[in-house]
Amino acid sequence: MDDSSQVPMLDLFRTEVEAQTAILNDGLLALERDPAALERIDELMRAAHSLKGAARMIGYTAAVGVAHAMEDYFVAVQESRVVPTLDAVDALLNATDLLARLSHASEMAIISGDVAEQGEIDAIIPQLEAATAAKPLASPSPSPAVTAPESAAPVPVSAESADRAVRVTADNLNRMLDLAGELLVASRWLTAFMGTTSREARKGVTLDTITHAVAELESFDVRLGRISQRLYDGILASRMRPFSDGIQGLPRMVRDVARALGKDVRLQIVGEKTNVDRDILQRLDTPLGHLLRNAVDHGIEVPDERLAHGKPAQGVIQLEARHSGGMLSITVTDDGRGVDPESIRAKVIERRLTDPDVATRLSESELLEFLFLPGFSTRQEVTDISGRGVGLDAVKTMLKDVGGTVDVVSRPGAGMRFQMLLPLTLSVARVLLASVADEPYAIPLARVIRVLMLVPDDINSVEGREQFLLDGEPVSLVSMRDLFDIGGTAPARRRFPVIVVGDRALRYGLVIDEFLGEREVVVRPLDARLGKVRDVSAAALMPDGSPALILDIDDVVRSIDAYVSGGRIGTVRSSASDVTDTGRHARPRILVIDDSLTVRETERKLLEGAGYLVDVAVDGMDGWNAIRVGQYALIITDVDMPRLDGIELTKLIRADARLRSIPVMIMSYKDREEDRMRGLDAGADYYLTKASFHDDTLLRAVADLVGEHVA
Amino acid sequence: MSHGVNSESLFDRPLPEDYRREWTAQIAEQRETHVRQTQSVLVFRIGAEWLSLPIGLLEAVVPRRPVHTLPHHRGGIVLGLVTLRGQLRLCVSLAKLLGIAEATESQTVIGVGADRVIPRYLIIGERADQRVVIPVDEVYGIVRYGPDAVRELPATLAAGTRYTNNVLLWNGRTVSQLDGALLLYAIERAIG
Repeated sequence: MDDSSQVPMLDLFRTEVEAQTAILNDGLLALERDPAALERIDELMRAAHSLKGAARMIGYTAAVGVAHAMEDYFVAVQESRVVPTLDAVDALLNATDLLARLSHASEMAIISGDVAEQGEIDAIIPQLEAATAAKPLASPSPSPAVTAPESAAPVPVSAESADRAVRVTADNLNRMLDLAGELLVASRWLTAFMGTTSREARKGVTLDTITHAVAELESFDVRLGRISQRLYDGILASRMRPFSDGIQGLPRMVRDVARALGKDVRLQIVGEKTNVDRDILQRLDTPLGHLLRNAVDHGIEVPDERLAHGKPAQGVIQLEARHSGGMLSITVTDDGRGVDPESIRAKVIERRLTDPDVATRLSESELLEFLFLPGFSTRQEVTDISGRGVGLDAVKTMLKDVGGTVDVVSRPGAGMRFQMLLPLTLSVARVLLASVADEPYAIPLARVIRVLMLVPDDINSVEGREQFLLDGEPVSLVSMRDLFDIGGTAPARRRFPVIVVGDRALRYGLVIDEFLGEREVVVRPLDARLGKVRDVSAAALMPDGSPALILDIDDVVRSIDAYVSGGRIGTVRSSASDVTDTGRHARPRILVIDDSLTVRETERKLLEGAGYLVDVAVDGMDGWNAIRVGQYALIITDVDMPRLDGIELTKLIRADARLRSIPVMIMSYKDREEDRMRGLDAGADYYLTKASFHDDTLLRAVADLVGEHVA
Repeated sequence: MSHGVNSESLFDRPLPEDYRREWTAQIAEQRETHVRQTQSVLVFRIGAEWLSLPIGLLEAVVPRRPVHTLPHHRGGIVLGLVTLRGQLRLCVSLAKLLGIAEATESQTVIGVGADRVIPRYLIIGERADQRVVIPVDEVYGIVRYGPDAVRELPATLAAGTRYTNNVLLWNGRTVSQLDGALLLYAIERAIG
């Protein structure tokens, strides 16, 4: 479940704006294609409505006004008071962009109501109001295409990215089809071969028939291996995209950043056609953005300074991708001022990042490594473009994730060069296979320090902790059965297989049951629903098709660390407890149902602050499921929601024998008397308007219904 | 004419008692078999309980294969990973979710035919991202039934169950009719 309780309200608001403006953009573009297609008006109305509510929640009057004007317009369309025009869609799109920009205003500006965009707001609201007031079916209005052609073709529903589509060239697909065909033929050959062989065997088996059969089988094996490898290569190749696909936004970004800083920078891209695994390409976006921003901000000097140093006024950043020694190499080189290793040394000493003695002996490359530390910046002021350090930290993390490295070379006065080396693909890994309790685990070879067999004499015990000497240094031993809480006992034996993992500073010996050997495996991601599984990074298939787990060694080292230093590592989490929790806790559990993230989180925070346990659901249907599965002392629901609205939900609850006694509270923006009556008629115990967030009405009402609770 | 008299007397002759009873039974039975059997469910057993799920939720019934457990997931409903049809799948325990005691050796006798009691996996879920594998102790098969075979849960029972809508009368047993959508929702929540 999401844990956003620590996130500031403004961030929540921004997240919500991002989500709702995406809906608005999609819907408006569909409307622009065909103004008569009104299927998405409800969705648009809800998006504007949610934005208004979210803006109101954080007291952002400027944004409330814009969202309100948009909502009014959509309502007018819903009620057929106006017919959408292209002009109106244009204005709405502008308003959507404006809201997106407004969401990035500083907290100060939002509170004071003094936003830079006030002029635009003042311009756009009257436009929207005019559009809302327009007469329907009036004589041809000046705007083009007022009504859609009679035979309006159905609007293609926006491409819902349910399935991730992958572009494959027809050539490549045909090649794979050919190979699959060959594979099919080969498998038929085997059937025929077995038929012939068994017929011949009935006539009597001779050494000759056996030799013959084996020879045929051998050649078959070679053929099958070749076809399979080619098929696999073909499929792998279809995962590749040219480097240029992943960097489309970068030239514009470099240009914009340079301009903002008064610099003149040219981005030169080499190796645009280099093939890159699409997963890696996708993950390169952020690190490349950081590296380029850093280069523009910290590397390249302003034109005057460059000229003074005898360099051309225009700085050049070169981004190059190529295959090198079975790896993908990506370099970012700038011709700026570079970094003076001595300034890093000074910083290291000043910040006491290491012993002053050690610091004075650090080599240049060791000093440059400090640039990748989180929060390490050699600049005094941190700009909003990039704070060197924060970004480089992210680069390092990404590379570690995919099993790559990053190297940096600085030539003070002449520029810097970052080189990233990444695996060509994430779908194959070389691993060491180990068996524990008859289940296979895979350890990436790159992370195995040593593999050894220990005899009991090698192991000694210090305060109950077992260890052994590796190159004269003591290394702690941990049994994987204990670490993973697998239980049972390893088969009795005289020698213990041990895998040493960790880093230079911290090494651990992992005792397993048995080595299964080294192998190249196809990496399969874990089911996304599991989230991050501790100590595991992915799964792989064994030759017999059964699964093996690929260990996340960084995680494992942390787990061992916790295990060795503090006894128990986190208790076994009972995943089912969330659902089957039968109210053993005395704290009442409340379900909050609202399609607005901001409202949900506000209510959650408010209620958790008052000592209640809170679950959230994103719409009526989600809420209805949660109510039937969970055990709630109170349900707080919004009215306008997709799939199932709050009124219908309340009726469902009241009609269910088991659930009817749960108190229901409706929270809505609608404050007219008839809205209130509708809610109470459906069976709600309380009807509150969302204005009650700002005083203690909500908490008092909750205390009324479920009793007070102090955390 | 005598022919006509004879035939008339044949029609007037009282019906033999057996004959009438036989026809009555047959007509009565025919009406019964004509009741429309509109619903299809898959009937299976976990532990001592017979359960059913709407056919629409079922992707496949497959033989069991070894499950690879996940570290730190012991005790939850997630049993681990299993490869079925070349795909890695998530295996979850319906028994744990429903609170059914796991099968013991003696209970396997409950099977409808001793020779066909084979533990299997069901792959269920409406969408690909929803699919899970659940181990069951026995699959009976698909059962079609009409509205007359459905009974509401007694009020005393209804208060304690969450996933059972009704019970189905089938071969002299009661079979729980599980609410598929709610079950999938609960599984999804318990996994995450």
